Amino acid sequence: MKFAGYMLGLALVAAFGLSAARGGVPLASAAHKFHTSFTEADYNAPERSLQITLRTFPDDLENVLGRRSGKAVRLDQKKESEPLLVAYLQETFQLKNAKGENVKLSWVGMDAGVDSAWLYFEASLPDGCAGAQLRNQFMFDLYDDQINLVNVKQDDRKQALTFKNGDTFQPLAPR
Amino acid sequence: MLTKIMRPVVLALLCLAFAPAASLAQSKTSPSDKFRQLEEILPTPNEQRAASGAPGRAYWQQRADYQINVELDDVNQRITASETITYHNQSPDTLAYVWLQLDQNIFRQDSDARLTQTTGGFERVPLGQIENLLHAREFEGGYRITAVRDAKGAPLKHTIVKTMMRVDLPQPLAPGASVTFSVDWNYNITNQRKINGRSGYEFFPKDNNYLYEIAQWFPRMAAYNDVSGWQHKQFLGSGEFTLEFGNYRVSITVPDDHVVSSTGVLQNPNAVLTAAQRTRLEQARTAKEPMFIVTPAEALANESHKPTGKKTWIFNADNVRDFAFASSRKFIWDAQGHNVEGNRVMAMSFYPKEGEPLWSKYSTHSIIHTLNVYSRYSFTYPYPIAQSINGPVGGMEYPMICFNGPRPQEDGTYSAGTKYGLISVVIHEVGHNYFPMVVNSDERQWTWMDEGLNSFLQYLAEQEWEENYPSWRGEPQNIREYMASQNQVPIMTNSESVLQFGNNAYGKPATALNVLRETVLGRELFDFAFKQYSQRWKFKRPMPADFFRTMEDASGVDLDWFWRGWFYTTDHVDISIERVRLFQPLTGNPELDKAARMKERGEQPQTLSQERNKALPKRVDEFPSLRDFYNTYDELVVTERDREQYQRILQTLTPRERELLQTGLNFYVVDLKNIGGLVSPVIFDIEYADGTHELMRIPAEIWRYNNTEVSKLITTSKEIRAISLDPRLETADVDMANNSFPRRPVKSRFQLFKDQQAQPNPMQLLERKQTPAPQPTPTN
Repeated sequence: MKFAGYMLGLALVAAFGLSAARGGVPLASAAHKFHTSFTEADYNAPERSLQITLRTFPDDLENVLGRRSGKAVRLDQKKESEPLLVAYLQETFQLKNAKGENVKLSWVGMDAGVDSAWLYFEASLPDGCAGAQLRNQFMFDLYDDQINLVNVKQDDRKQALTFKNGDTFQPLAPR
Repeated sequence: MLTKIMRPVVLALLCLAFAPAASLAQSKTSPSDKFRQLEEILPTPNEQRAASGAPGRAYWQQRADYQINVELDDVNQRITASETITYHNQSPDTLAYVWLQLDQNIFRQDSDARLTQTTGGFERVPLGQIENLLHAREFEGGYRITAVRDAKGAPLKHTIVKTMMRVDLPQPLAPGASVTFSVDWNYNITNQRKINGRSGYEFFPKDNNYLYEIAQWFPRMAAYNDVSGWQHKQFLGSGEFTLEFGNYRVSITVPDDHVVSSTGVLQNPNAVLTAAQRTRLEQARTAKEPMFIVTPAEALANESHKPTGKKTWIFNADNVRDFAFASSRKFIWDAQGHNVEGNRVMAMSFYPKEGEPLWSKYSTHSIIHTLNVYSRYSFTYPYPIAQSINGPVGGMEYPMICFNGPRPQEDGTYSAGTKYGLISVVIHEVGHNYFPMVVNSDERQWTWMDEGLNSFLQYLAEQEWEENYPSWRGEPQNIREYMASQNQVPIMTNSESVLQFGNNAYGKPATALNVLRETVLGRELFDFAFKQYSQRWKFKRPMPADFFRTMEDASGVDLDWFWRGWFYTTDHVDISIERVRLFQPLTGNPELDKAARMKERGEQPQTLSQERNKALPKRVDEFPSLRDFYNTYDELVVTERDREQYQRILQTLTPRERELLQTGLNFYVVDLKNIGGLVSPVIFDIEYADGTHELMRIPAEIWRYNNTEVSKLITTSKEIRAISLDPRLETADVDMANNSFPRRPVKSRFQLFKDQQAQPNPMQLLERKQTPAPQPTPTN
């Protein structure tokens, strides 16, 4: 199974024909930029929904969507960029419910500024966070030192999760 | 409304010395003492480093002077060079050998940096990583050291240890003595687009030209100091450099149609520049705006040029800790002279046409702006040149020169992100001239000492560029998610072991200094202390304790709790208002007090059972003889005995005590809990029932007896309607939901956005009517 995943990953890269793109190469000169996304996932009990706000860098986002689609992507052109973004989120922000089923994300919208872009989406979890699992691979295909921070909240209970490349699913268990 | 929430507690008669109900009880040993002094952690002050944080009376540092001849091979992308180093032993120690740094060896196939690289998983592979991995496997990187000789040309025994080289001296080097020796070497320059590093070349396939950013290119003397001895922590890629100051004379031989930008001052302009270029340079010294030395049209013409020979550019640089240069026939060059607090500086930018039109508009202006702001907060920029180069490196600093990556799209348009990204990176990298190029901290040990301080000043400079400049780092609210996150290490962690590098070593210390400046010390005290540190340690090598101590020494404020919390732990700020209790003293007058208690009793709700039992027939009604005194007695009815007792007590009181009984003051006790662990000043916005507000700023020392729970008494004649904690978002409190009394639901960004989506505001409707203005296209 592991092997299959490996092949799939390689095939994915080849399919996009990304030859000389810069990526997370070992000796990154992190003199300036850092590769982190910040997510607040709050469980809304009346709506039985996990409401998610993901903050990232707009240029990274345009970059990754542009490379996947093979054309320049501008976040302010929502008609073109949002479908790409939704597909990318669905692929990288992976949520499973207590039964182990993949949960589809519903897109709410986006606020894109100069320094930050906020992505809003939600996921239906009728039974609350308990038993659900999350794996956040956002931007791992752009930077290999990308870190995704996720703060989960249900009522007064909180949980802080960190995802690095290679991390697998982590249970949602705010305490 | 308020009283219902607050359950008024009635105090015993005359009990004016309140004993708070909530216990401040502590166990015999406090689990933690966040105000414990740092002395046991910091190194003991000595003759080299004083307890005040200043250099001690016997402070010393080494010195290394370099003469280097280097040739850049534009056909094979190679560096061939030789250097003569004169090393001055200013330490009190005799040295049998010296150590040099061989940073290029990080690109060897067998380097520790490569071998110890771990991989996360391969299911999602960074775009292009396969190509780069394959290239890295084939590339022959690292130094080839071809000779190490003494001053007379005799070979010296030398031993290469990974990214270091030991040179054994024939005679031990006594204190105060100097030794001169030479090294010859060559290496293949890395393709920076494929092997990410702090230097390298970029190939432009359309015009078949190269652009070189050359750094960490010569064997450099390792630092020898009073703290580490020889600082030979190997280079693994993250911890940058630790170097000695010295004078450099460097001759750079390049194809004769290249333009060279370098650390230092050009010594032979007549030999390498055209007459027109020399005239323009002279005019640029006093120009009001940046002027072209090489115009875009000239640079474009140069692109199709073929060299006819070589030229040697000679540069001198005094009192610098490193030396870098850039070279290409593609360079456009602009310059403007600027007077920085009396020092004449040439601010210059070099960029290929691919950087236009962004670079000629913003780069040199950003350099000058940086020099103005940073000099004001630290010390006058000490060098005659400051340069910004556009090439493949995203952002990297060297003395008087730095490499910055942002470029517009191919069609010349650019996004706002690219524009501000360029201004920010130029400010950041030019700013590094102050920290660590002049305040020469040990980057290989402590990334935060230059990156943190520099990111802090970068924020100040950005906010002086334009109002509400979109700064990434600096505002406390931007660090909250990181502060609450897992998988952290304290700021005081060695550079090579730092997790979440950008947040840990740049963002968190920059934010901490901002909190220190705005909230803990105030701007005046902070700025004085920070300037003291900068001036004390310019052209010297400070250690963390020197910074901590100087900031306390010059501000007059004990900050040990602040360093301990922000720099030595991964705690975060999360203070909660747990509850607010109202205490109102009894007047002692039974007519008033009993009436008040009766009113309170009357307000108690009738229970469900009481209501249902009311209609049931009662036995005492059937047999009235069962009634006695207690069936009619009400303890809250005022009796003669109460009145007499009151009069008796009044007679025992002093006039002052009688007055106090009549005040009608409200005593509010606010119970606070420190959930995040990081102690912080407490800032209250108190809203009274009459609509007025009061701001109350309480120093962090409120937590000194109990680090986790405290109660604060607010005495007022008014009624409090609401209290909010950290109303101006200055402490990086990660959870605002527990910052208000009464609890107000804090709408998350998500909810605000959703509400806004549901009901477009008038402005949005207006915007929707208008056709969107054409905007520049984003770039990578």
